[in-house]
Amino acid sequence: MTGYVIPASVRDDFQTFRRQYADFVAGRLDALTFKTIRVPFGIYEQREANTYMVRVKLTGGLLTPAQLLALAELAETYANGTLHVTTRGGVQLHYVKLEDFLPVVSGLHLAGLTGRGGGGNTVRNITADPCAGIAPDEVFDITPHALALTEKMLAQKDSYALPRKFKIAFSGSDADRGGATFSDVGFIARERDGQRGFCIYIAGGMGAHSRLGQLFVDFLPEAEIFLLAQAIKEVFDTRGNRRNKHAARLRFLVEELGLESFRALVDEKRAEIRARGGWEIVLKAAFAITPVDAESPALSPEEAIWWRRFVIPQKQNGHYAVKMPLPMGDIPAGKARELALALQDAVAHAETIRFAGDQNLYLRNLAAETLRALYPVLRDFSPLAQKPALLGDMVVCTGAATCQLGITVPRGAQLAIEKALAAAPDLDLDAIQGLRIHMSGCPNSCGKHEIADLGFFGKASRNKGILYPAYNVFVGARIGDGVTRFAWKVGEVAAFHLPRFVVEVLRTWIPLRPGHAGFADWIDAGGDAIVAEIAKRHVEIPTFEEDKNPYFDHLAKEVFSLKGRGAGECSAGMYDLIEADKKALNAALKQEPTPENLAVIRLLSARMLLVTRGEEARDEGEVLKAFRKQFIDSGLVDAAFTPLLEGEATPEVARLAQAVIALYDTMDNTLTFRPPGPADGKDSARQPGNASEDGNPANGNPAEGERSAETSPSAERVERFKDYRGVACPMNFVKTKMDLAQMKSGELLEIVLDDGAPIENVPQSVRAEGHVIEEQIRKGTAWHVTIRKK
Amino acid sequence: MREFTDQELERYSRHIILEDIGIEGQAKILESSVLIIGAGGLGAPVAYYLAAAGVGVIGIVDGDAVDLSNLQRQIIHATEDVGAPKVESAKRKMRAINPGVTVNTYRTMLDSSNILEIIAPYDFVIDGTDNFAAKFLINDACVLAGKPYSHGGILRFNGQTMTVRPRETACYACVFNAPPPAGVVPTCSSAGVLGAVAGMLGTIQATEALKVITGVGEPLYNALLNFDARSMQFRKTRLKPNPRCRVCAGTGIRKLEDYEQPVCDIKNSADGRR
Repeated sequence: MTGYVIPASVRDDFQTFRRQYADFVAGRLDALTFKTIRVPFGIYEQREANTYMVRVKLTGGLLTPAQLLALAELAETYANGTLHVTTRGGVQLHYVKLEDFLPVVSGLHLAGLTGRGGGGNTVRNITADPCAGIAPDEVFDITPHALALTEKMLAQKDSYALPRKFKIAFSGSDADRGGATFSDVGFIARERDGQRGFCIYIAGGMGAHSRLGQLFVDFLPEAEIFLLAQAIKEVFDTRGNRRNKHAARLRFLVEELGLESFRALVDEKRAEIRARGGWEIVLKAAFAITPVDAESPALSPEEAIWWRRFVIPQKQNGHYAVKMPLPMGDIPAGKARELALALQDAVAHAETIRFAGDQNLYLRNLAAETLRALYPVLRDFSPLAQKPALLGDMVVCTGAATCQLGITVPRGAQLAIEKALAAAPDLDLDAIQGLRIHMSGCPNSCGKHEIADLGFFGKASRNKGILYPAYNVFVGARIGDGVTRFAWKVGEVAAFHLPRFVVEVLRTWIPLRPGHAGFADWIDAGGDAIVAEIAKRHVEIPTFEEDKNPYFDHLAKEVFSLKGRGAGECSAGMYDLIEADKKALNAALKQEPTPENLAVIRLLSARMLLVTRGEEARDEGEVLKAFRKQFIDSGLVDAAFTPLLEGEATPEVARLAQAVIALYDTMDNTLTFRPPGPADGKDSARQPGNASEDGNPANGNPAEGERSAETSPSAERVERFKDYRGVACPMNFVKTKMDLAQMKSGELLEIVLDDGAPIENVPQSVRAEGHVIEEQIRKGTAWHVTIRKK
Repeated sequence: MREFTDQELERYSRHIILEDIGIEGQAKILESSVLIIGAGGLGAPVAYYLAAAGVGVIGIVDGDAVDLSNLQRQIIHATEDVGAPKVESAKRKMRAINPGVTVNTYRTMLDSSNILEIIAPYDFVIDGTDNFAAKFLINDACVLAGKPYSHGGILRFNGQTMTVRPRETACYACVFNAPPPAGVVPTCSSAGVLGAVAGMLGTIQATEALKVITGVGEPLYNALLNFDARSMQFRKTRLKPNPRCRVCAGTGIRKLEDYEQPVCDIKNSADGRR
């Protein structure tokens, strides 16, 4: 197998891209429009200006030594000299300059690789079990299917302007190593009556609002994989929510329609596509290697340890695969070249390399002797090659290091964990091989913490008013056809204590290992409480005055802060802080108005929303000053409150508190406030926001959603958004009228209403007053209603 | 657009959800001011409803104190208020209903010397008086000052009301010209009145005030509404401004004069009571 063949249409797209690139460079095309063009080519801007990341599709992580060589060349010439393996088995080049876009993309195309659909609201890289074709437990090799579907999807125009990203995964067996049970569309190989096919899971995914996939089709003949995937895609394309990027993934549509209604739409579409033709796929022959009878090779003690840790016997007797652990998915270009050349020398065929979602590299189809011959190269390939597999199996996202959404830096935490484990030689890490420790820098699951045995995601906490980095602790995921479940939160630890926490959990678990089938089984048998108990001992940190170290994130040179974080879903870390202050504020408002309490109310009122403006004032004076600058001077809060910020806090501060809480209620997901009042109407209109373009494969790129709203004529800007869940009739209608009164004729208002009386009455009443109900859709138990003011 | 607090939205929700009132109409109400002349049988429901509706500033004029005989119809006063100034008694009730409204009290009898000054700051005037002298004086003053106002009168089982937009629609004097001679028409002190009839008519006046403030519907302009509660017959008579009206036609009146106040009762019957 030599990977996918780039369809002619993608090469045509690249010609268009060339012209648009020239227009952009010449200043004839604006940056935002150009962004809508480059992102679907897999090109994202990094945190640094004029610094880009290019994401490349590798179906099932498959690439040839020649392609690895080409990537190494490109990385050295145009990027930072590193290949980065993504959590979906693709590859990224970082720190690419604008002026090098064309040579990079054409270099990739020359090597038979493309970034088309690597980012944006497109059909993304199709992932597969890294052991497809070699795993003893597989039903059949699904590689040809993943490749065929890739080629078909790449050639469809509608693959590049979907409501949101669309992820497809293949697994060859019930073990679901490809992640089919938590993808938009997941295929798991099955055989029925001698016929090959798949069971299909749909509407899964990780990130904000994670959902397990739902079993959609029990058995689909292999010839129809494109037919079904395209039908699902077309229904998604026409029915998906383009307006709200946070509710746009397929899982929201399926939830809104219900699985059966969705199925009816898909069946209709499937019949239509079947009738119009062109859905047939051509399956290439799977790579075949002849099993050989071979003795187990004689190994040196050093080789033997390595062999035990990383070598995987294939289903084809006498052939082996080997896992090459990569530190955080990174391969220095020089090492990549060395490996590619060694493979070309030593192996006659090109079917040797797979990148995998665990951010490791797998080699395959190697005879024992070849493997032994390659050993020196493989040993020196990665610093982790001589360490327990556990370390290489750790998955972390890039985090706040380069991602605009990141709160913490999991890469730093991983290094610290490695260090702590190295300092605990009593731990037999080889005994717990296969344990998955995953870390994300924010609630989005780019680091896949939700499918970890022991998972973490970064958050910001506060001690005596000062921010420090922390992690939520997750345990207990299971993966497999019919058994997949996400990990759940059992506690929180300070980032500072995280390495010690991991050591202690492992020290507890390792001796218990023999008594349980796996980590998840221990968790189910009471291990969760034990982990939670350990976490409790790793939450508290000394005050900033006592010890400043806990206030620095791992690898950080500055005290932890949320400065520079983009306004995205990942600002969930901010929400935690705001909610904590709001809770404390509401509690304080219920207390007697003693001078102390009034001071607390004033402080909390002023501080509560400062994080949304990147302000992290440390004492009361700074807080009040920053509040004045960010909220009063900007007109978000009434200037009449200004005198309250001076001198002793007066009982009037309760009104300030209410004003701040009310303002927070108007904040949308882009951290834009929409204070009522016509004077603010223009200012509070939705702003493009800080476009963030991290390379998150898992979820949430606000920039993309915004973009789709701007490029699609049907998705007009909603001027105002209000959540009236929990507001009873007729107050929900009253408030809606209030909103409409403050808007201009023709503008759009989106409101969220509860099911039942609210949805039965409010839209009707609004319509009776002459306004137009543009849209009314169900999301779970709530309804989203879009109103155009008359 | 005026800012509404959540409490206001809730308090006035039944107005706001009315298509014709809505947020805009309620804002107008909150920003309006109305003067009620007479804290008696008519003034009581007017004061209650306007306060409840959220009229921003309500003035109330009455020189009397609460008398036990008032309580049969002047529902804004309670037994415990007997002896208290009517305006103070009324203000307490209005504030209790809606602390958001401002109530100005004028414990005085209106006459030609003070009426213009008192009505000046208000957008609308309610005539809730019980005698012709006061009614003609109010009409004259409102015409002179250009204040829209609601005339109202009750007797026995009957009520009568009209709404006047001075110099645009028929005024009280266009229809009745001048007070009848003393004794021809009895006052309620001598003829009696069914208490609920005061409520009916006062409530109509309050409604008219709110209609004028919000611009909703057609006020009783150029129309005299009469009803007889015994048969519950309502009759609306179309009127036209009298081109020879001594008050509002041509140059009309230039200055106020007090009308003669007939004295026909044992108890004080100054303005302010019905």
